[in-house]
Amino acid sequence: MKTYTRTLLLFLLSAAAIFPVSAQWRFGIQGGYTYSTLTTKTRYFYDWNYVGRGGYAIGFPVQYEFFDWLAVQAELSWIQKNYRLERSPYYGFYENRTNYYLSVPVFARFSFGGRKIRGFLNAGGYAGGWLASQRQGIEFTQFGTNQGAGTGSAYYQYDENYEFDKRRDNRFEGGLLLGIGIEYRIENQMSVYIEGRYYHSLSDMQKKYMKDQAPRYLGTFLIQAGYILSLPLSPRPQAGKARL
Amino acid sequence: MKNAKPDTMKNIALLLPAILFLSAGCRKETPYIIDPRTENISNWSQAFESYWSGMNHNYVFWSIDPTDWDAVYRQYKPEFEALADSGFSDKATNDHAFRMIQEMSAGLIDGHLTVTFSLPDTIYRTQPASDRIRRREGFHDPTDFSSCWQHAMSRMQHQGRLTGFLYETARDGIEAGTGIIDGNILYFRLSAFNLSEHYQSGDGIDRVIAQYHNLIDTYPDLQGIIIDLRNNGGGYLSDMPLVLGKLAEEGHVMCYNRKKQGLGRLDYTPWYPETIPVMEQERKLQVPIVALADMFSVSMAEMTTLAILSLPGGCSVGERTWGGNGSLASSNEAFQLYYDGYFKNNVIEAYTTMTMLKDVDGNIHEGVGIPPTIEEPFDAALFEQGIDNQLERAVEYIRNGR
Repeated sequence: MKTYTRTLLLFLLSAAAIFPVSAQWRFGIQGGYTYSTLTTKTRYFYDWNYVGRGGYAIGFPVQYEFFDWLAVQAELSWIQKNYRLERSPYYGFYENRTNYYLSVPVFARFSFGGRKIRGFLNAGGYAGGWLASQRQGIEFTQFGTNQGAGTGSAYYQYDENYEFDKRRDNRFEGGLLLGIGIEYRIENQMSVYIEGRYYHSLSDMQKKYMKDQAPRYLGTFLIQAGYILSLPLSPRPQAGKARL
Repeated sequence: MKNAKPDTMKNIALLLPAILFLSAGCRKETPYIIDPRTENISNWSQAFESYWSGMNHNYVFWSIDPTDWDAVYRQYKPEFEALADSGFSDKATNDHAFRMIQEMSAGLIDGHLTVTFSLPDTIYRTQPASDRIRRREGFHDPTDFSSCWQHAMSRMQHQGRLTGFLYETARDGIEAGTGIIDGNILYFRLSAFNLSEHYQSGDGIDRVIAQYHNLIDTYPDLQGIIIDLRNNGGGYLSDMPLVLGKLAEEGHVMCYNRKKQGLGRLDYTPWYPETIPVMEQERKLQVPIVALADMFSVSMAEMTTLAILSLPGGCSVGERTWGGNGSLASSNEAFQLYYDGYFKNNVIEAYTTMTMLKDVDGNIHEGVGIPPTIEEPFDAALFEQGIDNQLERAVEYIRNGR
């Protein structure tokens, strides 16, 4: 174990030694609006449609800037990925699904432009967990629509927590992301930015639990604004001068 | 590093999104799924695929059914494929093939499920729940029920225990009767839930309904009510207010239902509460209400049993019921509204339920039946003599509270 730790430390220091002296850590906060859609096939459920819905996201980015044009960024994000299931207006049934995810995007950031205003392109992936879900909608009841001589309510309006089914629901989500934005450096160590980003899920929302299953994938657009603060690092020792 | 290599940056910046773009295609495809209602089937291989797929996407009980439907596919697919060239002309092949359909359907818990294959020369049919009932301990033949029951009613009338008895049968086969037992217990029996077809028509069944309602509203010193649902195969949900609409408070939840909500086996709507539709009430009765039920009480008869059990003072006497609690619309057109259950094409008719029901305590009785609060097995020998031991036990409960 000791040898392993020493080897790891040696590797990390060696890796750090090749980084440029201008490398720096940046920390920040960001938040924005999401618009998610569910990609699936409904086949012969002809008037059954999944449409996109808005939501919110908040994240805490940590960035390591290797060069002024290249950085690696990781985030911890709480993000809503919502969609709506609706049938033809004739029936009037719908369900709004509000899904809460905790997500960790990791991506490369490529910057370009001047000293004050810089554009950037983000490309990478993310992994996360489906924390909870809420369902709100309207359904008709059997006896309500068959009241005969009686009186009662035909429709049932609901707004409740969705109970996950371990056999079906895949609560892990992973995928790709691509973003583009613009950053304005207020001072040397402070920046604000706006970004448009797309999360492309590669994991089905369901486990493989049945033959002839229709997979369901989420796609999420995010437009957000953020504030990031630079913490310049002290120059590192050269590789040859490392001491253990 | 201010003098970063612009070419390297450009290359990486272009390469990484390109890799991401290519990776974005790594999603699974949805298989081609055909609506079984639109298929035109000409051999057993197609028939198997259509039936299997139709049940795969339309059967409502997958969350609780013990049948491994994927294993069924793996086991039977090669067997039916081997019959693809036979068409439907050979009777021995048809007999063999339908036996396999029976085998693969035998464990499905839907108490309504009836699978019919209509071939040019033969009609094949299987009803797994019916086979289960025959294997049930205490199984008894239901065919003589009506005549024995009438005998028992006559006997009680002769004894002076049953008064004001009005009994009618209609052309559609429904029987209904009502009267007062032992001076202060209201008795109401119906053989099927088809009352709403007769309500306010002025016919005999309508007169029985009117008398039943009148007794609920006005009969003095009523001590209890017995609603006899034995040997009742169910019927229209719209009959519920005619039977219980004068005995329940508005908004009273009697059970919960849910439907399918997508192609997936485990895609469901939320559980939604079902309330008893109410009728105009002259008074609020606070008396024991007994559902008299047996193993041939099915569907709407079981829903009514559960509704009675959910009422204050509700009780069931008799036997465990059939175990088919769902509701059903036997039409392909109904699919456009419910998106699950029944389907039919040129060969196959799958008469299967579109709702899953649970009682107010959260118990699902599909395929099992509702256990009676007070068990009183059917006694054929006594019944033939005109002694209805199950009805007597219901009377005893009302008298003694146990």
